[in-house]
Amino acid sequence: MTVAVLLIIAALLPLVAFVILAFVGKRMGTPLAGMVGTFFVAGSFICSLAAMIVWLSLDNAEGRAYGFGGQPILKTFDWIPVGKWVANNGWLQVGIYVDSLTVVMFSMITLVAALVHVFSLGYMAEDKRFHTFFTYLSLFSFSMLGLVLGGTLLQVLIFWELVGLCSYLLIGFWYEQKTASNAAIKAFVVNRVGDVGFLVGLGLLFFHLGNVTLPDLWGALGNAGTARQGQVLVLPMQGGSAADAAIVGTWQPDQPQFTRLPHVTTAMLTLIGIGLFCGAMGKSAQFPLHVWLPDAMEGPTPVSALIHAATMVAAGVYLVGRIFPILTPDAKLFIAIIGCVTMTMAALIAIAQTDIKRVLAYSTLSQLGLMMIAMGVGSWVGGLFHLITHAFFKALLFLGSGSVIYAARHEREMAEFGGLWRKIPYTAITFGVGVLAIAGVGVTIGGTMIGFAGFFSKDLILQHAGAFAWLATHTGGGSAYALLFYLPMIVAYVTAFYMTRCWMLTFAGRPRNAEVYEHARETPVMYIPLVLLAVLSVIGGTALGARPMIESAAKETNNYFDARLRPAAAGTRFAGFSTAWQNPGAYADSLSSADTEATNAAVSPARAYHHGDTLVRYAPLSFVVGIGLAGLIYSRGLAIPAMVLRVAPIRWVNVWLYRAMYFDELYAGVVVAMTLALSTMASILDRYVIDAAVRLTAWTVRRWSAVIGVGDDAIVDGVVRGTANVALEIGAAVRAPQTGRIRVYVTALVAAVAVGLAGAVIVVLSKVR
Amino acid sequence: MSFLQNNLLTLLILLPAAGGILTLITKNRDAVRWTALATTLVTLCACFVLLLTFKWRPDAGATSTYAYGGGANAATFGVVQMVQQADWIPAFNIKYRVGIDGLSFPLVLLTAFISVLGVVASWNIERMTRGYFALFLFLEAGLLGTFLALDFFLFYVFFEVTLLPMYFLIGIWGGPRREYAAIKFFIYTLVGSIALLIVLIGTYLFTRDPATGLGSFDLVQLPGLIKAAVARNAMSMTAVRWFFVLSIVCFLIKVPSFPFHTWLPDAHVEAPTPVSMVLAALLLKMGGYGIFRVSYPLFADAGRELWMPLAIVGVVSIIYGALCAMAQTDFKRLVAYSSVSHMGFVVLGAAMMTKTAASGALFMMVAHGVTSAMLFFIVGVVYDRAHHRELSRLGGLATTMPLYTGLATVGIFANLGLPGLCGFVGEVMVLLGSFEAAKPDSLLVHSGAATTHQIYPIAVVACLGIVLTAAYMLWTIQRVFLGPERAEYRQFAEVDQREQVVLWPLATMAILLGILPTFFVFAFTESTVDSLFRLFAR
Repeated sequence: MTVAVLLIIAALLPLVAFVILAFVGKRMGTPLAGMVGTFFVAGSFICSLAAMIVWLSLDNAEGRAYGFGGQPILKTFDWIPVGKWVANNGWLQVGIYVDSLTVVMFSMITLVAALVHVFSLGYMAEDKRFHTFFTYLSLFSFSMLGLVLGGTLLQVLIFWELVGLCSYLLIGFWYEQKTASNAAIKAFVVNRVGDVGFLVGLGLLFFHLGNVTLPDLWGALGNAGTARQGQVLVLPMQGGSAADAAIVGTWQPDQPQFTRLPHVTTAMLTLIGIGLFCGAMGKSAQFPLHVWLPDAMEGPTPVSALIHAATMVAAGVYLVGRIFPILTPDAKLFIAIIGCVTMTMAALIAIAQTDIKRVLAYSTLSQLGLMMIAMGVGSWVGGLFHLITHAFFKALLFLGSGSVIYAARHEREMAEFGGLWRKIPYTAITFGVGVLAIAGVGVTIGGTMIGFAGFFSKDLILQHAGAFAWLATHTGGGSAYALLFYLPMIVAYVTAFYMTRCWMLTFAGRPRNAEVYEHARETPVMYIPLVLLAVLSVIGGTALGARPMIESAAKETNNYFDARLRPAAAGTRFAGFSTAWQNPGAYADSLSSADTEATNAAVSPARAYHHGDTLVRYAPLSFVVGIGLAGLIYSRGLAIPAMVLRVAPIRWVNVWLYRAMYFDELYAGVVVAMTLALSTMASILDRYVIDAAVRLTAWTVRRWSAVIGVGDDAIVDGVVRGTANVALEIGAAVRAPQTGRIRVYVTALVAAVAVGLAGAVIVVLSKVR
Repeated sequence: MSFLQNNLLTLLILLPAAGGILTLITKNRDAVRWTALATTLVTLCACFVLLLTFKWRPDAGATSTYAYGGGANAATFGVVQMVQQADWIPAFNIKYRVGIDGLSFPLVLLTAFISVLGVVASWNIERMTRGYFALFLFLEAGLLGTFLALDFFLFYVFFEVTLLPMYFLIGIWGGPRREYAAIKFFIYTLVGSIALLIVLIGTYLFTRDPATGLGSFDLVQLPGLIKAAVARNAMSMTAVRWFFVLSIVCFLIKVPSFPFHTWLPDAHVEAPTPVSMVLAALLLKMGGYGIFRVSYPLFADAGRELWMPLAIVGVVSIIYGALCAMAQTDFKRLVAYSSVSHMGFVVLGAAMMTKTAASGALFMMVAHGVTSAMLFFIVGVVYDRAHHRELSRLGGLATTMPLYTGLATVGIFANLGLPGLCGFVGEVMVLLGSFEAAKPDSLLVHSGAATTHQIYPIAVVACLGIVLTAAYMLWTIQRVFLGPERAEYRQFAEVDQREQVVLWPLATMAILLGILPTFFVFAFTESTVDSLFRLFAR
């Protein structure tokens, strides 16, 4: 439990910093406020590191102990009473869940956060709201750590929204500019659209399970990955009989054993999976909810590095990783397709961008898409591994761009750069390392892989995607499935191309803007984090042990099930995190093939894996081709591209890509305009129809009562009359000539009429009986 | 001590009323203000004394029942406690009867809490201070009476009594169109009251004991009596349905829900800031409270049959209120429409008839009490300085008034349902509860009143409300606080100490309610909601 305590301390330290800075940050001023924030987040990193060391060294010989390769920690707290059903104890719970993935995420987040804090000390030094910046950063660090620590989906949702809040506050940090506050609103609202899906998914899960801790979820629905279409999953019930427990599992709908027990169909599971994934689509900016991320670049660059590259936007991938066992093959396919569209689209758009941060933003989108593909094709390890390595090199690239922007006095257009490597060499070299890492530079020599961090994770994903695509096409899925391998492959070439373009335009060639070039300089407080991140981007794939940790996390979960939930059926029931291509049958159904059974024999996971391994050998070419081509085209600054763009169709395509395929215009013209139109309509309806009806009624009654007049007094109810009298007396007491006594009389009269009517109704009613 | 214990609830109602009379005979303005403040503070303290004697949950093995507390039977736990009663009009079996349970307790606390802040917010009322504070305190007495009354007749009287002070508070101390707004508010809610009057008289007539000829106004006994009347064919289901509809209409007007909400924006726009706070935070809650105290316990069967119209009213209020709020150009009108939207969750939560949704609705009332009071005060702070509320002319206040902006942001985010703040818990509970209602063994589906496929779409559409809420709330922040500092607002003073005295407690409560919802609300409501659903299922 030491680990849990350490991690909780690590999560709470930034909260302490937030509270301190919120109340006395202003008095501390520059740079003390920043140092306090940095100090606490550094403490958080040390705690995380300590937790990792303890976790790795925990003795798990007994098989029951916590720790690496052993068992995860789950500790829940009752939060809100809701009443008992299916798998809950009568409470909505929050809680912590710690496995190797949590530990590795903590170390990554706190490390990147600490480096970004240090960088910000320099980058934000001249800002007048310096302390506010660190206040928000601290709140973000806390929220992000809370999200990763979450043991129930409800807690994940809570911190999910909190990181969204921090993102909103930081994107709109320079709120004096309309563009910044617009971008902030856009980010929050688009995320909320995704959150509707999250809420629906959560609601459906709540409906079926009652409470949604992660292990409960996996325990109840963990077979989804192997479920075929039309099957029914029977849920384990708390306190159910042994006979009930025996039929928990997967059934065909024509077997009636399950009907008296809570159960869920695969169609419903697919819906739940897609619903929760909608949340991830918002946070990880997947198509079609990707529009907020490029605009989010309005925020200060360190924020882009921490929140919009390394950590928060990866939370969507993390969420999919956590709900992975309950995703049906159909839901996974949906995820893979969305990821594929996002990845391809963003990579193409990135080629045409001229703002250095926008290039990186689209590159982030593209890489997130790749991670989603990984999840969709069942490469759980690959996706999360890439999450970690990407965090390092993308934080590096963003901070590098920050260093460039700082040097260039907030100029972000690459057309104004050029030749900067002479002025800011540390930035140029480290940025170059980042480019090589994202391009996946590396080679396999005699079975040994040597390369930058991105090489390892991207390779793993491509391998699994290749295996999946081969398996799917060979179980009758049609050749379209091959795209899930070939598109990531092609995009790897494109990635190498546009990232090299970015480096060439910024650092190489001749200076295109003399003024920018003259004033450019860099400071140690900013390039030291860059150097550290560059080192991580080189060794992140191998030396840090991210991959073994993630692989261990899957194993730990399985251990948990074997030891706690289903000791009797150890290893049989829980499909868990095993990759989808190990269960070819699962896909065969969703592909609706006639000759599935026949092909299954020849199509083994081992063959698929081997096939993916073979395919992926083409990948190394990507960086050679991509980097080489970009190096060639941009070797003379913008001269050659300008020549190419004289060709009309290429120019058109360029403009289309430059404007990000016109998604913003589409949404502004359709979704936003429609909402505003609806709201105006509602407002008009309110004033001229509903309220008009009310006024008309009032007018009619008043006229009518004036005619009937005093005659109604006879049937005035005592209560109302008394009320009216009291009203008059108080009115007199406060001496209020302007109240208009006539109005009070009218009121009393109207009331009298109405009460008279009411009395009549009562009399009639009592007669009816 | 036992005298105090036995009469505590009555004292609670009398305290503000006595304070009100005291203010009337006080001469100078300062004395009036301090008397009012002291009165509300003493009332709040009295509420804390209540906590000491309140029994939270049944003993082990006992089940909670919707009945009077105490009694010899140890196996049941009557959730309605500290009951005090006396004959009032014996000829019609009308009693003075007050008591407290999980439905009323949070609202009593809320009333006492908001009243204190309301007095502080009213500190600078210039005109006819004495009359103002007297009415304010009478209003508090009426509200407490409504929440504590257990006799239908008494409840009705208090329900009406609150109308008058509110009428005058708007009509005398309000804005330019105050008379129109006040009379609209008065008549509109009075029409609702007539519907309730019919129910009041009707239930009495139908529950007449064949032997004695006396009916009942006892809100706790009536559920059983009405069931018995239906069972012996003294009352038809048609009558039950009509009574349910009539009472619901009365409370929907008060809540207010679409399409009965148009009095609210007018009333708010004209009302002075503190009156708006009380109106939104407390008066609207009488509607929600009535739904849970009268409509559902008494006519649960009808409520089950008519769940769909009510749920649709709730969902439409959520969406329609949000859309209308988005279109407003007046800051205060916008907040008023957001009240319509948020109170829609209360209606939806009631209609879905699950424990989760009902608890969520009860929580939402408290949460909305805190956030709406806060938002109206925030509007008031701007209005005091700028003397207008046009959103298009505001902007850049974040630079001028950073502390105010910070506190306002807490309030606005609490209102839009950010986790960690109070709005989230209510919304998410109602939404989860709505999904829960689709379960095969839920009250609605099990009884055949609804099918799973009818409930899902309603729940999903309600979820969409969170997007619209976020959109208009953030847009408001942008228009009021963000953007470059404006020259004309540069000399605005930061919130002063008095204003902070109002804002800090509200902000603190918004955070505490969001983090410890069980401690502050569900601990009260849990056993009562439990007992209510036992009643519904019977």
